[in-house]
Amino acid sequence: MSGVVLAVLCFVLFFLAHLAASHLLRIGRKEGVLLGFMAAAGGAYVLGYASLVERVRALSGPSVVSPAVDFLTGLAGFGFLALGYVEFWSLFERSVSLRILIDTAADPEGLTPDQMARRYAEGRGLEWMMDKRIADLVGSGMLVESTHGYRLSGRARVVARVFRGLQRVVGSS
Amino acid sequence: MAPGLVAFLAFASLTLLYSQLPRERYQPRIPHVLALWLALAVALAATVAATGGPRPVPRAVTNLATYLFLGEAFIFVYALPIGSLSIRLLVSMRELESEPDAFRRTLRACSPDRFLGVRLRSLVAQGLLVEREGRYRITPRGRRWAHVGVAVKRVLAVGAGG
Repeated sequence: MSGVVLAVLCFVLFFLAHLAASHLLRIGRKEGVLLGFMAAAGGAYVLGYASLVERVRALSGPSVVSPAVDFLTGLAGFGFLALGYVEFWSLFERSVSLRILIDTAADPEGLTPDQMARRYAEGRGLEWMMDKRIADLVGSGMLVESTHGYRLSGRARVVARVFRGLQRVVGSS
Repeated sequence: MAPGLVAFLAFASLTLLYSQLPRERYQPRIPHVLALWLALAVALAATVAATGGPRPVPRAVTNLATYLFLGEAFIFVYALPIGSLSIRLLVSMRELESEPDAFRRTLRACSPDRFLGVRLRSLVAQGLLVEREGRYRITPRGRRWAHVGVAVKRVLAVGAGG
């Protein structure tokens, strides 16, 4: 269990650092910075395990599993916290459904779909949301410019094929 | 770790089985999958703690860490092809790749209006919005979620979003 305790400590430290940086600094590529913080926290766990685990064990008691399993369990615990934070953060940063709820709650008369599309994200509009998604796909190398707008990159073709298969498996058309 | 792995395999199997069930009307699936994930986590912790042996709490934590991480990664991959607009754009573009204007046709197929329609249907099905005469109004439950959303956005210092 000492691996899990150390993983929680590493995560909390870097989570607080990311939160402080988000408030104090003007961050351009927010997703990249978040992933950077979580990668650094993972690195800190791996490096810290060798040097700090004995001190943690003194607090949490002797391990019920071998050191290798203890390390892997801690890594799984860290993965759970880091992935959970990244998903939670993305939900509040990017969620279209949440944005619709916030926009609709602001109008006591309710909104028609056209009004929602225009007022979306403090007046930026749904087209802005679509442009943002396309810009992200271009920025990540999934779409490349062509004479007809954009075409898929080789990597994007593989990703699309994998997700088409997953759509069939999870029953999504 | 073995009970955690077994619990994860049970969760993944049940989720895939649930995905194949026929549906008469639209129902968002992710809340049900999350509920199943958490219910199995509670069952796992209780089972490990109840099966005896020394130090039940560390054994339960060890298995829970394994189960929760694998389950969370599974849900992440499971939700992407259902909800991600970016993934839908990529899949649609690949299917239309033989067409000269695949990008424009994809934008028509995955237009913001269609995407909005899907999201509105989901929000109505979850009881967060109600539709009357073409206008969508927020329900008390939806308003609570909107307040929470605004507060958490402020704490996380994220932008307008969407």
